[in-house]
Amino acid sequence: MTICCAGRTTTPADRDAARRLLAAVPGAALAARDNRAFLGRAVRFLAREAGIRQFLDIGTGLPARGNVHEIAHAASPLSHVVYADNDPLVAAHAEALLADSLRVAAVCAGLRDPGHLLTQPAVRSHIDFDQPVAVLMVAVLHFIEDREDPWSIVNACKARMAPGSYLVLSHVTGDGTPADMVRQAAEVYEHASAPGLARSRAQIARFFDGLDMAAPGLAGPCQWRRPGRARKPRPVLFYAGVARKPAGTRVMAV
Amino acid sequence: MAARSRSFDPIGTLYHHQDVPTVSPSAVPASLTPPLYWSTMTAECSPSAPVSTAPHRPRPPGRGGPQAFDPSVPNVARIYDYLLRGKDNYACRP
Repeated sequence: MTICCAGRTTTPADRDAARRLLAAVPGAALAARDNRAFLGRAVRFLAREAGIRQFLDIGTGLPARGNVHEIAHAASPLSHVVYADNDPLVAAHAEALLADSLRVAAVCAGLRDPGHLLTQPAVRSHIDFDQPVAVLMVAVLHFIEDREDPWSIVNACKARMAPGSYLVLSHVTGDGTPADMVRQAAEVYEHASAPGLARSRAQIARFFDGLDMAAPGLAGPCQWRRPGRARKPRPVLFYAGVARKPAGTRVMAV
Repeated sequence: MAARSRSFDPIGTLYHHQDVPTVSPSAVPASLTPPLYWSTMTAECSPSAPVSTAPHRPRPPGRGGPQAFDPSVPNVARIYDYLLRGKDNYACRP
């Protein structure tokens, strides 16, 4: 078993920022866990119900319990999974976690240049873009500013996906959150490695343009295909969704 | 224990000695020969790259490329990891 020292993979600066974030938005930790659970349910849905056998997880973050490849391989050991992150520490941990696997790889590349990311040797050797693939952008696009046009970045990825592929996406929202809270959270990320931008439901929905949303559509992470009884409503700090590229759409070569 | 030895810290001992921002190339086990695709990483992504001790600075690196490692700058991936509070993560000491 590979052991990742979660909670100890942080520097004092990380912890200070996280504490300030929690002081500004007390529900942030719960939202992070809900978001992580959404990732697990989405991958399980894609692997078991949609028959997806290729996963590209962009902005993967530090390895945690229930990693994409673990869930995908539980459904089909033949699934290929590539993790991509522009943080070399994340890439190094992913590499450590995956050292034994022939069907899983990690690349140190970011989302800001999809052309660069999608042509990485590890991506090309594991992902066949002529076949359906699940591209995961979970809790990553809020680190890309409007001036960098995250919508065109997502569109560039969508253009290369074969029909029948899926986009899995979650994003921080400021809808329903007091403006002061949103501002304080943004201030925490002001000095971090990337900005943190809350976007509206309409802005987040635009990422799915041209795709068919899977039920229940764009929802709070804890509402997305959560089994069991509905829980007490929580403040929505993320929107999450899964969508399929319809048949007959154009595909751009990678 | 074999499993423990696999749980190396590829960037050195920074994580476990949280306030010591040092990175030593010699701390990378020889068994961790970088696979082919690591050749796509730039020098700033390399374990042997110098570590900046500069105070907080504005973030981003080049488009799409790897970020530079600066322990004085809060990192969004590690903030998220902290928010998960280890609850969903592997235990450090089994």
